[in-house]
Amino acid sequence: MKSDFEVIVIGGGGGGAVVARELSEKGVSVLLLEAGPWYGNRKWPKPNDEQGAKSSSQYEDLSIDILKECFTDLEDDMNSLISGKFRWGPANRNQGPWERRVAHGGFTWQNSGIGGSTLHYLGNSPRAYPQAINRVWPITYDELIPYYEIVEKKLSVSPAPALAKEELFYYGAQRARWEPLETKDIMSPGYRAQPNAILRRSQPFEYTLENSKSYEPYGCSFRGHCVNGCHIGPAVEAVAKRSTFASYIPYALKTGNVEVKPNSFVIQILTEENENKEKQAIGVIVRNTWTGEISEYRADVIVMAAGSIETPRLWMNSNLPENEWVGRGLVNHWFDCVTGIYEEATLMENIGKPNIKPYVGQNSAVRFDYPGLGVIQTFGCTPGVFSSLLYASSDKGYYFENETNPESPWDFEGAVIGEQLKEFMMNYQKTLCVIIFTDDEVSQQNGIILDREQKDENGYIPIITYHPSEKDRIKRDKLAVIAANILREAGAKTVIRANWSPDIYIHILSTMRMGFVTNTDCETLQVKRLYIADNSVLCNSLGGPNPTLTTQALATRTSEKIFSKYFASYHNKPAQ
Amino acid sequence: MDSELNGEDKVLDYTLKQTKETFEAFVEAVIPRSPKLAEQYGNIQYYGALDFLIDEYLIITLNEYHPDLAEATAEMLNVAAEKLILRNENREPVHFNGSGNFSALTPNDRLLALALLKKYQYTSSHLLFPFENIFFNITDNLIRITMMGYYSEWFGYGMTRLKMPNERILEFYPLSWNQVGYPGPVPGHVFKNSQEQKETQV
Repeated sequence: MKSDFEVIVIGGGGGGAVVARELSEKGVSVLLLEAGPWYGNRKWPKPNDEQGAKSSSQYEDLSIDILKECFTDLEDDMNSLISGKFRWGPANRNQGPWERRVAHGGFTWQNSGIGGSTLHYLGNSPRAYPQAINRVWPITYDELIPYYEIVEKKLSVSPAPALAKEELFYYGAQRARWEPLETKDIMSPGYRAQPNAILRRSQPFEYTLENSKSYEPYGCSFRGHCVNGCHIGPAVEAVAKRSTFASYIPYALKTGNVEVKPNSFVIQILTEENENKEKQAIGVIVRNTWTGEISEYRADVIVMAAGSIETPRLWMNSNLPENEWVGRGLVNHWFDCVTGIYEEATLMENIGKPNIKPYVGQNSAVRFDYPGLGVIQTFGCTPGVFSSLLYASSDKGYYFENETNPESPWDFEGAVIGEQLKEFMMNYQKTLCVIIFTDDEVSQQNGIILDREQKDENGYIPIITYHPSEKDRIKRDKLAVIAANILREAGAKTVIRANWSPDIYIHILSTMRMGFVTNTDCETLQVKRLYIADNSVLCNSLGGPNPTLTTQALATRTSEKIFSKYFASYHNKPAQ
Repeated sequence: MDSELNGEDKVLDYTLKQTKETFEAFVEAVIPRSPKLAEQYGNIQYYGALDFLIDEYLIITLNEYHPDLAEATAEMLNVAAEKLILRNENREPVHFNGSGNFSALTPNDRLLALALLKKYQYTSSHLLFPFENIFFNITDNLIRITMMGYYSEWFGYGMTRLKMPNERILEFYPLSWNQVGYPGPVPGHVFKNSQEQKETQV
C-alpha cells in the first residue's frame, strides 16, 4: 500500500510540533495527529463546542481572535482537571476526561491539544545539568549543545525579568549567600533569572525578522496567566509565551508540507516485516474523538510524541514487542512546595513594596539550581490553582497532625485547611511560593502498565505507579531546607512546607529511555522506522531541570537523524 | 448569598439529601464560615464554602468525571466516618443528625476520617470495599477540587454555574477574590494605553 505521507507524528505537543516543523522545512511531507483540540484556528471557531473541520494545513487558518475567545484567563474554565479546556481529555467538554489510574489520590497534569502541555507550561527552558547527562546517557552533553542552541534561538529563550516576587527571592538568596549563576551549563549551585521562552516586549524574534509590516506591540504584559494559557500578541505566531502552537506549528504550516489533524487519537501503530525480517512501522489507526470514526494512515516513518504516559500505552496497546523498559523507569521530579508569608513592613524594608502579588508577572521567573539535588523555582499565579498547589497537596496529612518545634525549618507542615487556610489565603498578596523538583533516580519498578480489565475508547487504561527512593527523599529534604532558609532570609514570618505526595505527575519523564527502548538516534530498537520524540525518551530526570527544552533539543536532533537516514537521498531540497 | 442563586437549583433535583448534606459537611470542614476571622479582619472573611455553594461544585465536578461518582463518594465518606467512630479515633464528640455519619463529625474529625482512608489504602483495601476504584482517584483530589472551586471564578457564573462548561457565563467576580485580594483578570489588552500597562506592572 502506498504511503499517504512520508512521516506521521503522533502528538502535537512540546516534542511532536518540533519534529513536524523541522522535517517539513526539509521538504518532507508530514501528517501531525493530535488527540485534543486546536485553539486559535479558523477551522475550529468553537473548538470545545463543535467538531469543526477534519484538518488544517494553511498558515492562513490561524486566528488570534479565536485564540483570545478560547483563553479566558479564568482558571476553572482553563485548568479544571475534569472539565477545563486544558484537561487531558477530548475537545468536547460534555464528555468526561480520559481516565488514568493514579495511586494514592494523585493526579496527572497534562494537556491535550495543539501545543500539548506547553499550553499550560510556564515557558521555563533551562538545559539539563551536564553531570546528569555525561557518562549516564549514551550521548554526551556536548552532543546536545548545538541543538539546545537551535531551540533557544527559535524560542527566543532569554533571562526572565524580575518584578516584586522575584526581587524578594533574589534578596533572600543573596542573604543566604548563594552565588548568582551566569551560565546555561550549570555545574555548581546558585540562583539565576529563569531562562524562559516568553517574549519580552518588542524582543526581536523570527516573526518580526521575516515580516516588514508594522505590528501592534507584542511581548509579555506581566498579566500572570502563563498557566491559564497565554494569548498576548497580535498574531498566533507572535504570542508572548512560546507554546509550540505559537512557536513551531505556524512555521510548520508555512512550509505547505504539513497537514494537522486535531481531535485524532491514535489507537494503534501498524507494523509489518521488512525484507530483513525486521519489524517496521508502516502506519497508524486513528479514532476521531467527536465522531468515533476510525481511519488508517500510512507513512514511511512514524514518530511517537504522545507524552510519557500515552507513548508507552500506545506501544503496549499496539502489541509491539515486549521490552522490559517499555513504560518503565518513570521519574517525576517528586515535587514539593514551600511557602513564605510576609508582613507588609518587612516587604517595605526588603524590597520597597508593600506586597508581592503572586498573580502579577510571569508565573515563574527565578530559579535556584543545585546539581546533585535538583531545582527550586518561584511560582505565583491566580488563587484557585495557587491555593490547591500550596495547601491542598500533602503526603504528611494535615498541618494539625504534625508537630513542629522552634528548630524546624518550617512552622507548618502538611495540608492546610479550615480557618487556617483562610487566614493564609488572606495573605495571598504577601505570599511567596517556591516549587521543588528533585533529581530523582530511575527505577525499573516505576512506570506505566495497562489495566487489562478496563478499556476506554482508546484502549486499555494506563495505571501509573511511582515510589521514590530513600536517596530521593534525602535530596528533596535538603532542597526543602534550602528553600525554607531562602524564604526566611527574605524575611518570611511564617513558612509552610506542603510535602507533596509522590503521586503528583507534572513533569513525567523517561518511560521509553534512550539506550533501552531506542538507539541513540531515538529510533526504537525493536521496530524500525518508529521514533520517539517526547519526554519519554529522556534517560533520566536531567538532574531536576524542567524537561521541555531538552526534549525539544533532542526532537530537533532526531529530525535530522530521520531525514538523513530515510529521506536525504531522494529529497532534492537541501536541509535548511 | 441564598437569594436568586438557589432559585434554579438543579443539583437538588437529582442528588440524594444525604449526599448533598455530606458534601456540605465536607466543604464546610475545608473552608469554613469563620466568625472569628470576621471579627478580626472584617465581615467579608465570615463567608465560607457553603456560602459559595462549593458542595454543588464538588457534586457536578465529580459527576462530570464519572456519572454517579458524587453519590459513591458521599457513601465512601460516610463509611470512613463510621470506621473512625468505631475505632474511637474521633477527637471530639459525634452529633448524629440523621444525615449520615460524616456530617455527624466535627469538621476536623471529618478530615481525620478522610486521612484514615488514605492511610489504610497502603495496607488494607477491604476498608474501601466497594469503592476501591473510585478511591483510586479522588481522596486528595476532593480537597484540591474544593479549593479550586472556592478560589476560582466558578461561583461568579451565577445562574449559569450548573450548566455545562461551555454554557457558563461569568456574571460577577466571586467574593472569595475580595477575601484574598485578587482583582480578577485584567480586562482588555494592557497595551491599549501606557497607564494600563503601568498599573499591570505594579
